[in-house]
Amino acid sequence: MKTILSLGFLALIAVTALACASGSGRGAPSKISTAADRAATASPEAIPNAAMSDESSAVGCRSSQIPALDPTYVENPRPRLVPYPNILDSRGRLSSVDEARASGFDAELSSSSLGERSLRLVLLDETADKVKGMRAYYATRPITEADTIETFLVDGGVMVNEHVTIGNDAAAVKATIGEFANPVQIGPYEAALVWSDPIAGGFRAYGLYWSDGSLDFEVLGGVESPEMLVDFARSVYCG
Amino acid sequence: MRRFFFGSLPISVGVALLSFAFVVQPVLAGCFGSNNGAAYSYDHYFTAARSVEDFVPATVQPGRAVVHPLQLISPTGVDFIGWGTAKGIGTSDSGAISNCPDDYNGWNVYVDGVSFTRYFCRQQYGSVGSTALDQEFKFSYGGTSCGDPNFDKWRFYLNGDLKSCQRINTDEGDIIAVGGEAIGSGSQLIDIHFGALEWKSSATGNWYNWGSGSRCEDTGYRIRKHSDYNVHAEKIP
Repeated sequence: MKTILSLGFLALIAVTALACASGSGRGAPSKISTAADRAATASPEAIPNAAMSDESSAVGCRSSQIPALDPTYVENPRPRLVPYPNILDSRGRLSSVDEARASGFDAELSSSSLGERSLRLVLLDETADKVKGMRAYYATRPITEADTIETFLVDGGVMVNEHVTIGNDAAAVKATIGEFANPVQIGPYEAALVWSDPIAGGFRAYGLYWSDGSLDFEVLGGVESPEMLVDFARSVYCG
Repeated sequence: MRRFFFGSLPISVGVALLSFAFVVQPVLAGCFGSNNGAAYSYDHYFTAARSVEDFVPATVQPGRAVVHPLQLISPTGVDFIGWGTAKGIGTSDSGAISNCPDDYNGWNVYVDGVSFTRYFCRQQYGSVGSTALDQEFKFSYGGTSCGDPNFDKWRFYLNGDLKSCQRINTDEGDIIAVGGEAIGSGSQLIDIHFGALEWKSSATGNWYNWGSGSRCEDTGYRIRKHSDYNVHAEKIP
């Protein structure tokens, strides 16, 4: 027994030495530049919700049935005082994905099609010394000064909101809203698919939430089906 | 790109009077501040806000009357959190995450909002009495004392005591608001006074007043004249 343990210890030292020699230790680039890189290098300890096996990663890249969504919603909530703010007036500086990346923010955008929608607007959420987050708006038409997130979603818009993690992974969403968070796989990550309460006039959007441990992702869409939103998100990791 | 929340007003705190598509049309009156206004730097956002409330519910008929001592809206505009005191019709129609039952007797304290696009409501914090005299409502982001050892949540304080915690999809608010609401049949009338409205943008930073020049204005609905920090919600049949 003692011999087996000693051999195991020696093997561990050898593996560690090899890892250092191959550049994965000190001196190797510390910045992970893409979502795919982060997914590939993430450890289950660092990201508890990450499913790291090839099998589950493949599941997260395959079009599959979305779980049946609970149709119940709040019919008569106590209202918000403030109307939905105009998108162009909301927090964030008008910018671009390239500028976000040049500022050191590892912005990720899907390469998947959203039908007739195209990227219309990028807002950066900044502090004095860094970019904290980015919101990208996809629509079939230009975003006007009158647009709110309400009119944007009702007209079929899709917003991608990614920001430095505050721990809002699928498990956190599930812990917050319970059974209204439906598990789906986005690449190697578990995500929560949510059918929103009515945004306006009974219109309900879909939301998708996950985290890669560095960034939290939110995709809100006034899309025809939740499958479209899930496929759009999956292409970040699945090409 | 950046504009005042009310473009024509040289102040950052204005008034809102909204109507929502409910079965019974509500009347809302509010004052709100945003980080877009002249009183705030563009770099500021709200990690904490507080208000001190008292009100005179002169007439409240069957229906619902709500005083909103504090709301905070996320940058995307969808998620929000709020403190409230309410009498009348509740919101218990969405299972466990919306459990604010009807109560026509007292002015119940509740927290509500939208988390990850779903409305929540909890009404288990007692009552503020008939006039809610000098009740302090606060929320702030930060601290790990809400059951999660790794990540922060928004924390709700009533008169200095931690009452509740909530995740929404932001660690910063874009707009804060106060106001009142009256719906239902017959005359509904609430006079609300906010003795203090303050905010700050970091856990260790200073508290700032919403602005000495803040005021609420009549926007053409049946809202009586009100002055600084006074909100008057009224519905006249």
